[in-house]
Amino acid sequence: MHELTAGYALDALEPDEARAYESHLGRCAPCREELAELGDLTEALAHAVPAAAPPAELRRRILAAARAESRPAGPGRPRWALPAVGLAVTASCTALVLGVLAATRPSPARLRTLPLRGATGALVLSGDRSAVLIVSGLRPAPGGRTYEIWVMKGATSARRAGIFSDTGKTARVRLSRRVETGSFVGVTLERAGGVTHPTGAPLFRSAPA
Amino acid sequence: MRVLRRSGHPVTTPRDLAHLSDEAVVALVARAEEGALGELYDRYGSTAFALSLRVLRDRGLAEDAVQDAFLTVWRRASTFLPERGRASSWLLTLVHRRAVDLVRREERHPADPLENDEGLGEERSAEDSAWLRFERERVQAALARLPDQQREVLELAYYGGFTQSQLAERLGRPVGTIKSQMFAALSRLREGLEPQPSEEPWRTR
Ligand SMILES: [Zn+2]
Repeated sequence: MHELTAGYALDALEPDEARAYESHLGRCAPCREELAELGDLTEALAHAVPAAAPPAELRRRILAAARAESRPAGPGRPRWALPAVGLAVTASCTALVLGVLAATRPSPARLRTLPLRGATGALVLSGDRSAVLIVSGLRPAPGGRTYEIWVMKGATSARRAGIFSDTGKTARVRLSRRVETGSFVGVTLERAGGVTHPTGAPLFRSAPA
Repeated sequence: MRVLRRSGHPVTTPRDLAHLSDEAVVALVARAEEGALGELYDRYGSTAFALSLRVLRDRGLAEDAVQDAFLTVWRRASTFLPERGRASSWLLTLVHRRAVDLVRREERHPADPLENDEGLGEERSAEDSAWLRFERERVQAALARLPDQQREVLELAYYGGFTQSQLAERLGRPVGTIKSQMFAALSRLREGLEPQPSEEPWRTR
C-alpha cells in the first residue's frame, strides 16, 4: 500500500485503489505522515498555475449556499497546537539563502526585495504593496509565544501584519497588511495569538520600502 | 467585514480575522462563522479558482468545483486536524479532488494539457499579490529543474487529471515505471523547493 502514497497525494489513483488506500491510512501512521508531507508539495503545485480571477459573484454565491445549509457547529475542542520548542533566533547559517528569487525568471511586473537587518532573508514587495516575509535560520517560536509582524513607520507607529510560529528552514509568511512607501517591517516575539502593540523592539526588520 | 456589508445578513459578529492563522480561521468556520468562510475565500479563492480552471479548462465547471470545495470546508471544518497538514493544503486538496472528479466525469481531458493553453494565460499579473507571484515563480522554477519524463508525469497527473493507469497507456510505459517516476518527481520537487545555497545571494532589484 505504501507505494500508492504519491499517486494518492496527486489524486491519480483509480477509484478502487483510492478507497483501499484510504482504509489503509486509518491503520498506518507512517503513510499518514508521508501524506501530510506531500500535502506541502501538492499545495506548491497548486500555486504554480497561471493566475486567474474568479468572477466576483462566486464569493457571494458560496457564502449564500453556506448560509442556506443548516449545519450543527462542530465540537468546541482545541484544533491546533503550537510546537513547543526552544530559543528564538539562531545564528544565521551563511549559505542558507536563498536562490529562491535568483532562480526564478524575470517577470513583467517586478517583485522588489528589501534586505533584512538582524536576520537573513528579505521582504518581497509587489507593485500593489502586498508583501511576503522570507527569513531563514529562525527557531520556531517557543511554547506559548508567536512571532508577530508589524508594518512600522517612524518610532511610534506599528500596525499588526500577521503572526507565525512554525518557521521551518526558511519561513515564508504573507503579510496581512500592505507596506506603503516609507514604512518598514519589523518582527517581535509575542504571546501566542499575538498582541495589538509590540511589547519590545523588533528582533529584526526590513529596510524601508 | 466585507461579508456583512455585502450580504445584509448580520449572522456573525464582525471581528478582525486578518491577523489569524489559516488554522485559526478554519476553527472559526467549524463554529459556523460565515465571516471566517469569507476570510478563507479571500485568502485562497483565486488560487483555488486558478487551479480548478487549469484542470477543468472551463470557467463554469471551475467555479462549481471551487464552490463544492468551500462548502465541504463549511460542513467538515470540525474534522480538520492540523497535525495532518496545513489548512491551505486541505482546502486546495479538496479543490483539486473535486476538479479531477469533474474532469473525469466530463471526460474533458484535453489532448495535451501541456499545450493548448489559449485563454488560460496570466490574467491580472500586474495586480497579483506578492505572495502569489512569489510562490508561483518559486514552484515553476523548481518544476523546470525536473528531468523531462518526471515533469511530464507529474504535470499530466496533477494538472491533467490523468490516473496512473491512464498515463501508462498514454505514455506507453509500464504502470510500475509511472509510479516510480511520480515518486521520484515529488522527491526531486521537494529538494528543488529548498533554498539553493549555491546560487546568488540576495540582490535588491
Ligand atoms: Zn502505510
